[in-house]
Amino acid sequence: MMSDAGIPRYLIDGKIIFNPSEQSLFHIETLTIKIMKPTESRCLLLLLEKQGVVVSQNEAMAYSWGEKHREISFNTFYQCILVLRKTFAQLDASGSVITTIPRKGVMVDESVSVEIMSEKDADEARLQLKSDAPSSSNSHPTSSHRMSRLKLSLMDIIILLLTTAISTYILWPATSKGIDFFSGYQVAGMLENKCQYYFNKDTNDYSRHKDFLHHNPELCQEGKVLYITAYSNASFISAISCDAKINSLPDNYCRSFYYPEIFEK
Amino acid sequence: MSSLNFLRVSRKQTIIILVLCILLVAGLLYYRSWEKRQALSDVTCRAEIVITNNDTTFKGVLDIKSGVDKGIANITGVISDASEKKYHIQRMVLFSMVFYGISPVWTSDRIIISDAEGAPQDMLLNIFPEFYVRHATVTDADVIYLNPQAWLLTKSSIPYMYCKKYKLINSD
Repeated sequence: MMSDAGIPRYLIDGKIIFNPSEQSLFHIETLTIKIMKPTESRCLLLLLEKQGVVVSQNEAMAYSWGEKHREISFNTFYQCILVLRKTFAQLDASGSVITTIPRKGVMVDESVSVEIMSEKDADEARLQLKSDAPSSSNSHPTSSHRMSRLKLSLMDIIILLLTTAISTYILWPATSKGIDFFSGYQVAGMLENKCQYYFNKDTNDYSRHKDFLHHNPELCQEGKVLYITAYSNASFISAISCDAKINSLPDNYCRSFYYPEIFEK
Repeated sequence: MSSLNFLRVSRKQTIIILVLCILLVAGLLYYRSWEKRQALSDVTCRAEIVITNNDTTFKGVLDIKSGVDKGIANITGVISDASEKKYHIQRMVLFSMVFYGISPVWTSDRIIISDAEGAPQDMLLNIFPEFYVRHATVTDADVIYLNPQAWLLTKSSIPYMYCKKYKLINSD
C-alpha cells in the first residue's frame, strides 16, 4: 500500500482537483466535491502518474487492490473505471479523461490537462474543500473552518483602514478638549504690563482692533490675555479677557465685553 | 481558474465588509450629531459680562441653565447711562430651544422681572438683545463647546460671552 505523505494533488482539466490523500475530486468553480472509493482513487492516481502511457488491467488492479487483486474480476475493474468516468462527467469534465485502449488497458491521454499543484495552491484548495463545498455530504463546514477561511484582500484592508481613519476623524473632537474656536486668532502684540492681545485672523483691517485697544487699555490688565474680535464693516466689537490662553488652563477665568455699536470716529 | 474563484468569494466578503463599514460610519455620524446636540442643549454656566453701547453700560452676570429643549437665563447686574444714573437689572427669561438643522433657535417664552428693576425698556433694548426684553426669537446665537469647563456663546458668529460651567446639585 502507498503512503499518503508527500502525495501531490492534481489539477485536472483546469477545474477539477484530485486529492489522493482524501480520495476526493473537487470542482473549483461549482465547489462540488466527490468522494471516491479507495480503489477508484488509487486507480486514478496511477493513471495520472503514468499519463500518456497505457496501463494494463493487471497493473492497474495490482496497484488499486494490492494483494487482493487476484480475487478481483475484470468486471469489477471496469466497473471502477466506469464510476470514475461518471464522476468526471458529473463534475463537467470536458471530454473523456480516461481512455480505454482495447486489449491493452486504460490511460489518461496526454491531451488531457493535468497539472501537479503547488503546496500553496493545495492549501488554498484544502481550505475551500473544508469550508465551501455545499454539495458534499461528507463535508460539514464548522464555524471555526469559516473563520480560518477569512482572508482579507487588499481592497478589504483599504476599506478597513479608511473606515478606521474616518471613524477616528469623527470621534476625535469627542476625545479632545473641545472646539478650539480661538485658533482663528493670532497674537497681535503684548503691552508693557505683559498683557498679550489677540486679533481675529479673518480680516485684513486691524485699525478698529487697535483703536479699540487704544481707547480701552483697562481691558488688557497685567498678565491677562485679551481676544478682540472686530470687522471693518460691522458695528460690534467683542473682547474676552482671560487669566490665561483659552483652553490652556482647566480652570481659566474670563470676562466678556461686548459692544453692539462702535462706529469709527 | 482557482484564483478567479477566490476573487469571486473575496468580492462577496469585500461587499459585506464595505456595508458593515458604511453602517459603522453612519452610526458614528449619528452619535456625534446626537452628542453635539446634547452638549449644546445641556448647558449650566455663568458669565461675567460688560455690555457697552455708546453711553449705556451693563455690568453683571448672565446665568444660563438649559436642558434638552428649554432653559432659564438669569440676568443680574447694574445698567447705567451717561447721566451716571444706575438701575438694577434682575430678571429671569424662560426660553425654549429647538434645532433647525444644526442651528439652535431660541425663543423667550416668559420673562419674570424683579420689582427691583426700574430701567426704561429703551435703555434695555440698547444693551440687550430683544430676547431678554420681550417675547422674541433669536436665530443667530450659537453655543460652542470650548472644553468640559466652558462654553462660548456667539452672536452672529462673534464671541458674545465666555460662559463658565458651574455645578448644580446632582450634576456632573
